Amino acid sequence: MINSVYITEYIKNVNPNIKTVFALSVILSCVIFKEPLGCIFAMSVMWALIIKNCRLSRHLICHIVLWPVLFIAFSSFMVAFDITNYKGEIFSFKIINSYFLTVNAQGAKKAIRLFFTSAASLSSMYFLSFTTPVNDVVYVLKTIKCPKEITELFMLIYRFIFIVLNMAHSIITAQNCRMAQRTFKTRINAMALMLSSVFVLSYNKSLFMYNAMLSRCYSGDINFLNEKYDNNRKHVLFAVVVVLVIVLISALERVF
Amino acid sequence: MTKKEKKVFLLTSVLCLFFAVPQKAQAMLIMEGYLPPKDCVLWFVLCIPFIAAGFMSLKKITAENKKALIILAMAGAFTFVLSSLKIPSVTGSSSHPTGTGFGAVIFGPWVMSIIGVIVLVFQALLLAHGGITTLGANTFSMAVAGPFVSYGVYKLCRKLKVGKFISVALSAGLGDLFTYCVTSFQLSLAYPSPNGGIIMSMVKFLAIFAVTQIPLAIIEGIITALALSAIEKISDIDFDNKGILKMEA
Repeated sequence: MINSVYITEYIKNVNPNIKTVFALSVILSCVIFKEPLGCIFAMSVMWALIIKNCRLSRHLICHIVLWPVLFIAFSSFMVAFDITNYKGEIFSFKIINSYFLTVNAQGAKKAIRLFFTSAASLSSMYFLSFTTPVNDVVYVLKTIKCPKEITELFMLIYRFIFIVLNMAHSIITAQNCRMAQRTFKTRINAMALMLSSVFVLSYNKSLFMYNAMLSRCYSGDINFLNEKYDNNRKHVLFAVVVVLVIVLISALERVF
Repeated sequence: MTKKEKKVFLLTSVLCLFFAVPQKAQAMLIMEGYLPPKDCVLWFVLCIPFIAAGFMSLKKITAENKKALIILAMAGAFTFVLSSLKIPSVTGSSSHPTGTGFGAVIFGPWVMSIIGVIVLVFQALLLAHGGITTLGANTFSMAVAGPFVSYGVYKLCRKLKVGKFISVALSAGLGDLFTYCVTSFQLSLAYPSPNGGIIMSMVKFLAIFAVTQIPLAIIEGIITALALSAIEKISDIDFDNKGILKMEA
């Protein structure tokens, strides 16, 4: 998962509010304008920041980045297609009677714009994911005055994810050792048994955790410690400049 | 295009359908940046009443029972893990379950809407599945439409004296299918066909995703039913008479 990536101390200390607003502004400017050049610039900046500040292995890039990019490519490819009763400009394939699966110039153009918009937005999302640990996301939630119940639930779910995930992986490994993946029927059965065991185990674990919290004077409120962050004006300036350049490039591209 | 080029194009398209979609369908989540701004806003707004009602329900439950927050957090983690696991698929590859049926039957649809949003945020932040601008659309399909249909089907089946196994299987399967229909509708609304409009576009998206989603819905239904019956066997949790949260109150 993305949270296991090493990030530099410098980017870690940047105020999470600035990082979040920056990433969201880039996503919004790409989604609103949908201009390929603006999106390419956004993508370049985001990946430069990610590569500079995060230590990414080739395996991680393949595992986390490549598949979503392929998915975007495929999804954009689907938008280019249309079902019509006449032949398309670029491609047409007869389905039934007078109906064709076609690709027109307009559809292809739309697909290309969509691909770049989606890829740029995804890059911004990756920047946010790689550089902002979940504890920092809680800080952002507190800043926007998110209700206490949701912030607590958010943090607790994050803590539990790794416990439940470890349990599931241990059971899957044990099942694989016992040839559970042999046939389709055994695979289905193994999955169902694993889910039920994980559910009951994690349910029991949550009750133990509640008892442990009670013994530490839990009264319904969970207090999180806040870290101090670097509120450097240079970071804000950098974010504003990048967003303005994306908007400018996109606006110029639209005009010309 | 020459005949040979057409054949190559068609072959690669078919290969994409069979290999790319099953692996990367990502439980029908719409990727970041895929929806136009007006659609992002529309789906966010449509989710607000459900999220608000879910929040009120969460507040009430946690006020009555302090333990509930911990159990709900575990439920959220379980839903996240469930939706990130690969389930066996008949198309030769694997894909991810939605987990909406499972959660809706155990915890009810209102609470699932709020848990669903948090799980979707984690999927975006930790796995890069879905996104922030598409959070509204994904929440509506995965955390609102799916759980409500699952819960409704389960309750209806139980009222009609249908067996528990079949009820759970139907609710999880139909919840999954409905999620896929809503996602197809969202995509067709965002990208209507220039000739046939929204309906033709929806037919296109439904047809493309049907290859993987229909078998997956059936498999998810069976797995959910098997898992819930196993849970009842190995624990004293009874999903019919009183919910897991009421039981712990």
